[in-house]
Amino acid sequence: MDSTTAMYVAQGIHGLAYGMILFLVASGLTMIFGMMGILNLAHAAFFMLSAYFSYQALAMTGNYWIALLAAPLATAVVGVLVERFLLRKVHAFGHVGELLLTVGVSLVILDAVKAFWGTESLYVDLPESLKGLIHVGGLEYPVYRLFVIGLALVVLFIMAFLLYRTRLGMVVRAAVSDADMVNALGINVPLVFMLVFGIGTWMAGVAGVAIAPILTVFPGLADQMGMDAFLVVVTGGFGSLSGAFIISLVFGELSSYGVQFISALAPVLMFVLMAIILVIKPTGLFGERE
Amino acid sequence: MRTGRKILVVFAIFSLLLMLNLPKALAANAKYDAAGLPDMSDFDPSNPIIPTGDTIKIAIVASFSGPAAIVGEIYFISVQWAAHDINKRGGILVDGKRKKIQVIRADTQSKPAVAKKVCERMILKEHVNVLWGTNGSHIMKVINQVAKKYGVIAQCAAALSDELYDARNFTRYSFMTSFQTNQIGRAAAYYYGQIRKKEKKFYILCQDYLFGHSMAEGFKEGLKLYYPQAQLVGEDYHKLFLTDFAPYLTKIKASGAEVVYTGDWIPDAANLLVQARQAGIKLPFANIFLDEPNFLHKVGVEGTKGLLNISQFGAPNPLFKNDLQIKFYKAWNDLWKTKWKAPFNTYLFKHPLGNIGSYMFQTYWLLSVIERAGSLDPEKIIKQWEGDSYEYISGKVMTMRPVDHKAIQDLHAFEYVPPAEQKQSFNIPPYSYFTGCSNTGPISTIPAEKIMPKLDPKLKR
Amino acid sequence: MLLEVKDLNTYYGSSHALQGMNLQVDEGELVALLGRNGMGKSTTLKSIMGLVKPRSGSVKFRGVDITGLAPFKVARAGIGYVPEERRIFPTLTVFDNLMMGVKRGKMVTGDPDAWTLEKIYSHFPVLEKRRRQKGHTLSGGEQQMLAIARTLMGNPELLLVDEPTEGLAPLMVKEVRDMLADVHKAGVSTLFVEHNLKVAMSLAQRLYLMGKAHLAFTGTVEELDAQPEIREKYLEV
Repeated sequence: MDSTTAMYVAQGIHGLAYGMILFLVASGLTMIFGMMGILNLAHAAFFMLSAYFSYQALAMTGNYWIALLAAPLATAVVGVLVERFLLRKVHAFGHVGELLLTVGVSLVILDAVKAFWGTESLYVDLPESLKGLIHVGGLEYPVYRLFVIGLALVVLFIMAFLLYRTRLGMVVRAAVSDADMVNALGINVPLVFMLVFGIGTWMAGVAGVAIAPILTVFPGLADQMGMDAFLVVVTGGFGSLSGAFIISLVFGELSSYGVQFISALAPVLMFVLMAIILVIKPTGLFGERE
Repeated sequence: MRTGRKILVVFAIFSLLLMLNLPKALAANAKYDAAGLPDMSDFDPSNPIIPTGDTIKIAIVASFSGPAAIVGEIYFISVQWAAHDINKRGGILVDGKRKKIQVIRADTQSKPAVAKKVCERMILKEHVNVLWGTNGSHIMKVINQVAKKYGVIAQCAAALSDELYDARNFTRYSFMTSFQTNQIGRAAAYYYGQIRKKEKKFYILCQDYLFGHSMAEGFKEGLKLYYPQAQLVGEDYHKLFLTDFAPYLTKIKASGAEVVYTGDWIPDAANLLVQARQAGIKLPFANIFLDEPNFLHKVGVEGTKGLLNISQFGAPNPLFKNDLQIKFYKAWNDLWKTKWKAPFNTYLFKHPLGNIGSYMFQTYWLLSVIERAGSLDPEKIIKQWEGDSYEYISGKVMTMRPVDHKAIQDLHAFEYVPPAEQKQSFNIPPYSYFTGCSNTGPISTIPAEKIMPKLDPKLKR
Repeated sequence: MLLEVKDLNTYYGSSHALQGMNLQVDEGELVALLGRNGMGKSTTLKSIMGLVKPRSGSVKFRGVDITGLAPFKVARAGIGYVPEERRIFPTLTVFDNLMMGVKRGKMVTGDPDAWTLEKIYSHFPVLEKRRRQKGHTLSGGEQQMLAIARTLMGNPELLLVDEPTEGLAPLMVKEVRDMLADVHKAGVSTLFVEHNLKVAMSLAQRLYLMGKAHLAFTGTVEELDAQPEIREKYLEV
């Protein structure tokens, strides 16, 4: 492979890696929206929280793998508690109440993070085994980014299995289109909501851990990622997992090749694509709801 | 007639520049009195001794909450140190009365609207004498506007945009004691073209807003001026708070660049460097913000080697040239080692150097100007400050250009080297700035006359 | 008494949608709830199901108070609900739609009278034919069958059916009517809301007739037949 080809290939893999991380965040967001009808504005805050948890776990144990397992789980526990003791209480008052609550939760998380870890940037180190580069036919690529792609694929397969091969997944898919009907069939929908909220925050958590060694961990992390994830959900269609998947990858590649070829326009490419899709299909790529 | 007038104006500016260079050659009007340093052992940034009553009030207008809250604390410890020092010497005699200096935190939350409100409150309720600012030129602009409206002195110690003092935005109440974007760019180019004379291929990567573009513009002007043989192999502007630098890094790698010039601030600057090192890109980055020690430690000795930092608090090597400098340094460093609590106990606050040193001595200059004006009357302060020059403890001399209130100063290029090589600069035990990261080794002086602050030709005073 | 609704008051915001509603269904009965649009028929079923929360009054099922319980708890108590718009899960297959009706994911075994997949398929052969199709590809009549079959998979003791023939072609109306009769014959007590008087009169043993938000008439088909002025006032346009 000559160096120009290597550059293009590398850009493609970059796009894939970023798209995968984007999908991890966006999928939880779109799933929660699809099922519960609420835009969880605290979603990105959970993503950030997990990055902080991974920093803490790494500081305490020195073991990246423990951090990788523990941080998303701890984040999911927080998510479940938020759903069970806060969101569920305001559910009866409609979506506006829920929306406001998630804003409140994100603010609380932000302030808690600042109180515990301060406002300065923290840095998460890579384990030795994931440092360095892989050399394949003239292409040099960081091991860690390949690992991130692999990690996202594993999560993707777990999710696909859960969603399409288990009864829980069937219930979730049904509840995405009609939660009340599922409830009336004798299925404990509040419990399912809680599980979905937990899984959604867990996925955001996995993304948070995955990105921590690439980005500095600081309180602005939530905004940094939240906006992109939100664009994915809007463009892919609220509640649509496949929409989120496709748009995440497209956004990832768009930002890579955008920088490569039309660098000056790279920052706006996502918005342009979103505008085009929404003009053609106001509900987003695979969305059914306004 | 018209041509004649033009020639006259050009001539006037030219001679003005000449005159301004003149005092630089002479001794400064005033200098920091290092011998008079009082016992500072009671200085505690977490529990500062703040005088009240009839005081000289300085409001630090900055982010004290939100993601950038630490920035406000950096300003606070620097300004409060200078205030504490002067207060322990008995304060300053103004308008026939000795007054102490009271430092007030004015939180902008990084928002222009909040900044405007808080500045007005500082003036109308707190009756502050000086608005001291700040991170973000858009916020500094607000400070200057309020200063102009109410006729209160403002000091720009941390915003870097030249536009703040162009014909449109200039106000005689505000003084820019920090270095500036265009000047920084030219300084980096001068270093590579006239001092180092080695690398030839440069890549510019800056943030995609006014600041980043001005930083890049300055560098390009500088290359034309001082390094015509240099080749610009790439130029990109990325969005603020970018998550993934990989696509840019791949381009940089493919471009054959030997140096990356970036105006990025943290977190962007940090993410850029970390991701570059993860991608195996070992190129040097010419920068102004890649100097945050906590971050440098994370990247480690290898990853930070070869960074080139343009500093506004430099002086030729070695760092310590006399005992008074050592005494001053130790007064700070001993307290850091033994007394200070979070957030002031991290590497960031270890040395009274770099940005902290600069903010501190910009404040000493302000206080010296007030003392010599002998008054808190803004008109008298303006008269005193215009054309004034002041010598820092490091020997660095600052001169205030009367026409546009921008400081004329030498800048310094710090080349980062591993701890063992840092003793050429840090010449007292432990003979290194930090043991966990590369830091300043060789220092090159970029003379002030080569990098005069950009003057807006439309500004007529 | 299987189901006993007493003095039920339900509000949508400030609109008083049910005003002191009373209603009973006995074991083995097939009861129709009639009335013009907007009288509160669907609201009655939804209030029983817990899909809307009544403000006062009581719903008892086999003597146990189930007022205002979460819908899934009402369903688990033994009441099955077939909603007005059928509400088939569009992205699930017909088979999965049926499986959604199975309570706690466990098929009932050992009870010869229980609704199993085989029994459903024998009552609704078209569903077996279409079992791999997505729910949204079915016709209106097929969707209605699937909706009823889905609920039957949970083996309810009482079936609440909302407007089963609405929007169906005349041929399908008859088929759905026969199917309800069939299900009733299989031993499921049923309370259904119907706007088609012919269907209601031909199916039901007893009738409730709703005026605005309250009960206007109750009695057998024969009794209603004997009072054309009531029919005129509350049913005919």
